[in-house]
Amino acid sequence: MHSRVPVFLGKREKMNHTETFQRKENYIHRTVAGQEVLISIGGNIANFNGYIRINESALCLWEKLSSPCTREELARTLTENYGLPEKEAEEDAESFLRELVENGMVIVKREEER
Amino acid sequence: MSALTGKEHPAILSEMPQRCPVDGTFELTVRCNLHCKMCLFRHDDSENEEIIRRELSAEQWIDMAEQAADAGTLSLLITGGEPMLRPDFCEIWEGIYRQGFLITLYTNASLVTDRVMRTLKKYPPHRIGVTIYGASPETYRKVCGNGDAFQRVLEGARRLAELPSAMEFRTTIIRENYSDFDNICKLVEKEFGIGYNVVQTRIITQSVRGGCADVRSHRLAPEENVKLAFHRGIRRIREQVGESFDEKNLRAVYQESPQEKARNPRVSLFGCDAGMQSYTISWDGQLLGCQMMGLFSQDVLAKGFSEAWRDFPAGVRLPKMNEKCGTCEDRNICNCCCASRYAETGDPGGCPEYVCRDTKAVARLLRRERKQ
Repeated sequence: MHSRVPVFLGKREKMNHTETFQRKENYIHRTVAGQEVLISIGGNIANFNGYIRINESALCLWEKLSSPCTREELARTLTENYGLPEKEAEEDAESFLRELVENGMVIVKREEER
Repeated sequence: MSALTGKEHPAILSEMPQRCPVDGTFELTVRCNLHCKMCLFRHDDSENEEIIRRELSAEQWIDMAEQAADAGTLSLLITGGEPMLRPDFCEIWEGIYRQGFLITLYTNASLVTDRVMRTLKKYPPHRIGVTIYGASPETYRKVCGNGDAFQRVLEGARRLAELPSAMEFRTTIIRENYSDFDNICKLVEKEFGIGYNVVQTRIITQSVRGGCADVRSHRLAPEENVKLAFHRGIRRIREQVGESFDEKNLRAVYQESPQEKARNPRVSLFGCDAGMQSYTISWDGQLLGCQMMGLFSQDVLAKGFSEAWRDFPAGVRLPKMNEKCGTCEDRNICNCCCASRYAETGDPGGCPEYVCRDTKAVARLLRRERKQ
């Protein structure tokens, strides 16, 4: 088993504004020795058998994703909680979402499916 | 901890270094359906009413898991005895699992029922350790007192292998299964494939904490044990690098030299992680530094996890190390620890002759190789 620090690698094309994202329940958040971690559980351990260390802002977004929210809502969370400029918050939220989508950690729904 | 200052006793710290209970072990029971002759922990038969009465309930285990999670435990081992012997195993497993740990299950795999599989499919362990002690019913009869268990172990292990968990096999070699060791490895490879590791217990101490097995009468002599481990190691290396491997030119390389160790002293209670980063909750509600040693404990049911963990160092009293071990030229390669000293001698500072002979056997091998 290994730990993994997520690296935010944004892709060039933007994601659909009308999409909502909600975290899957295949990770449990824990605080261990002052570090925030997400532990892979259930059937997901077939994909990833271990845990991921996340920082404070990632945890903030992860908690926001407990219910469906848009990319803009996530960016606004970063702005409100960390005082990030709007553009930077949008970029950070987008790259964070890409990481989650690539690793099967979120459910993505289009607006008409809401 | 003592309030002694650096001036009075320069070698004593003025306060306990930071401790965090990251690695836990929950010993659900010390009962087992098998009667292995080298078992360190088994107390008695599976139906011992006195033991059953004193075991923690499912509710207590789940509450303990919640407290351990709050205190910072990340990795948790569920073991026994045989944990699946508990009729409430599934309830305990689910309740503990939901707290969120990197969770390992140790089992002899002979009691894997449909109900257990339904639970483990929904809540699969991250790791499973399956004990295997023979490659035939006859060996299982000699080692575990139950020849019928062999087939059940194989079937149970096959079912557990369907889970997404990382699985390994664990074996302990004694006189009764010594001749079956190669067959055990071949059996695992044939039944499960080459990706499954067979981990062999390196040194078997006498049984601990009230365990009833007469280990001394069945374990190998230390010299035989070292020879077995050494040749197995060489064989495994040869499997990796082929016949070009030259056994005669072996070199012993320290992962950390004695000089480096002296420059980087490790502050701990026992010279290991026990009580510093790791702990065991025993079947009857004691917090121990490790499953091997019950000499120092805290009543975790009465105090709660956090307080028991906090108070554990204050209850530790280690005697002075015996002179022979303190000045031994081979102490840097010795597998001794407080627990093995206590298991073998009844004194956590004693010199365990069995482990000492093992170390000397290893040292002779290394010195022989260095001369060549």
